[in-house]
Amino acid sequence: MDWKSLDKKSLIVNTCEVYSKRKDAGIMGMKKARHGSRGYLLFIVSLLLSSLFPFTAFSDELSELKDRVDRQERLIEGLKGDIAQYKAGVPATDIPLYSANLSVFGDINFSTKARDARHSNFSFGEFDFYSSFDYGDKLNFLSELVIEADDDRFELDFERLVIGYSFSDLLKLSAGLYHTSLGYWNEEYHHGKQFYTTVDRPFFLAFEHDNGVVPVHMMGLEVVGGVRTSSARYEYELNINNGAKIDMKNGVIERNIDSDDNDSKGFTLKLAVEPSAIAGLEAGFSAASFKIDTSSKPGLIQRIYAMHVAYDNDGGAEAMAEYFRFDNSEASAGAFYVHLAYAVGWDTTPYLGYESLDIDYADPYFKDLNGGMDRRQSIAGVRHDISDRSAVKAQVTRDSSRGGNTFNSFAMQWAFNF
Amino acid sequence: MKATSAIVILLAALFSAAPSSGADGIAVIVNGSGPLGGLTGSDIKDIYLGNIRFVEGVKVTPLHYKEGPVKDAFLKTMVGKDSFKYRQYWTKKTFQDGTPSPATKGSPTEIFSAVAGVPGAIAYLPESELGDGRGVRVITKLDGKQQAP
Repeated sequence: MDWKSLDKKSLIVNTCEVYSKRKDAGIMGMKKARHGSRGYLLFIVSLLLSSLFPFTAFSDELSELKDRVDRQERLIEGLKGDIAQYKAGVPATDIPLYSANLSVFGDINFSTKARDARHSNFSFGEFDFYSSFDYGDKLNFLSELVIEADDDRFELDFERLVIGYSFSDLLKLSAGLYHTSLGYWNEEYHHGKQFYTTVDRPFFLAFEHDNGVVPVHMMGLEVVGGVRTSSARYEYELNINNGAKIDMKNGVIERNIDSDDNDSKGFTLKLAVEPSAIAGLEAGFSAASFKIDTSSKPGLIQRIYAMHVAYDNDGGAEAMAEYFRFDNSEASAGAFYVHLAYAVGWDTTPYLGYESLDIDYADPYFKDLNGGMDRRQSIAGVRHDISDRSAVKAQVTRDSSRGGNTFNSFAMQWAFNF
Repeated sequence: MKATSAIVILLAALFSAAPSSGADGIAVIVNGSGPLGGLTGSDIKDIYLGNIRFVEGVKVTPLHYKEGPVKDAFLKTMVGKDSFKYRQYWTKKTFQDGTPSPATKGSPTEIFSAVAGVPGAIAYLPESELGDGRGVRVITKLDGKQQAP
């Protein structure tokens, strides 16, 4: 008989039938015993069998029944839990496999006459569509699509487009268009002016098309990782990329996005440490090597070294300093900035800054760039946070260059992130 | 005399019924069978700042209790940031490298469901909400007097 195929009621009925048959067998044995000693022996044996075997079998059947009831009780408890979660609007497994984050950054500006503004003007800064997607535990995609105004036209440009795979905290491999691992500012703030305390980036770290002199975007591979010990957190970043090229016509650095203009790959290495003893402090060193064609020296080997110290204690004080050294074959140059700020309350942050670029005018690299000039900039301003998503900034700047005009300008910016 | 006694009793009742400040008795819990049982205070801070994302090859899933004094007290004590700075930090962090910010769960039931069901999950909640703690492990308790690591 297949006990498992029976339901609870038929199981009980069948069990009773079996017991009844075996009990009947015992009574029959008693009747036969009246016909002699042999019959008496048979009676004893049958009595023993009918009294022992039925109870053993019955005990097994009860045990099986108990198991079935236990299983059903567990099933009911599980279902009760699911019903409670369903009523509370909570799915049984609540951590999604897929997640996405979309945000928008933007800024609207006003500036009086300045080096790059012939008249006072209102201007549209950047409108940055940022998105990142995670799939499963390790796969991640990030894109930054920026609309900006140029010569009264809107231009659309991908600033970052990166697919990444995290093997562990020590090793994440990414590929695509990313921000070069050089110095601090470039990777700390990217294109989000809402995050800048100041109105703009230090002038020598401006984006390529804004006359910056550091190649800040690269196409290639990136490996990053970090580890904490008892004394500090250490991070490294390694880039292998196409390097950059110079747009001779416009005098700006250009990204090698769809191909490499030479057979040499660029390399960048950045190391940073955050000591546990001083919360908010980071110090780092980075170095890059590129091969780049200039008008006077094709195949120029360029080495850029950078050092940075940054401190942000979340209690109001903010300090940053970066130094860059450029070795461009036979010439070299240096650039640095220092930035200090102190928040008064949660919403108002006055700041001061000084930026400098010193070059050799015979430098084949800087000679081809509009931004290649000895230049100093002093800034003072105040940032007022309307909320954690928007801030208004006002800044005065004294901008001078060797042999050029000095511009004293005033700028305002309304930056936001939604 | 009776009026004074009544006021004293009323005040005592009011104070005893007042909600906790949130700094009292917060339990940090992890999945009972996951690899997060040995976390230190610095590890918990790094997890909630997105600096630790894997432990023993398992993806770490930090979860927040709903907005309010419990979350504020946890952030101040364990992470060393107030809610405003913490939101700013994560807006920037996500923008920098795409790391998604920790999700927030609206009720202790949701917290338990998520932590008990995901090996790398970590969360916190008032001790009074711990219940029988089935499927989760308490790794530390905060009384509001600790300093952020």
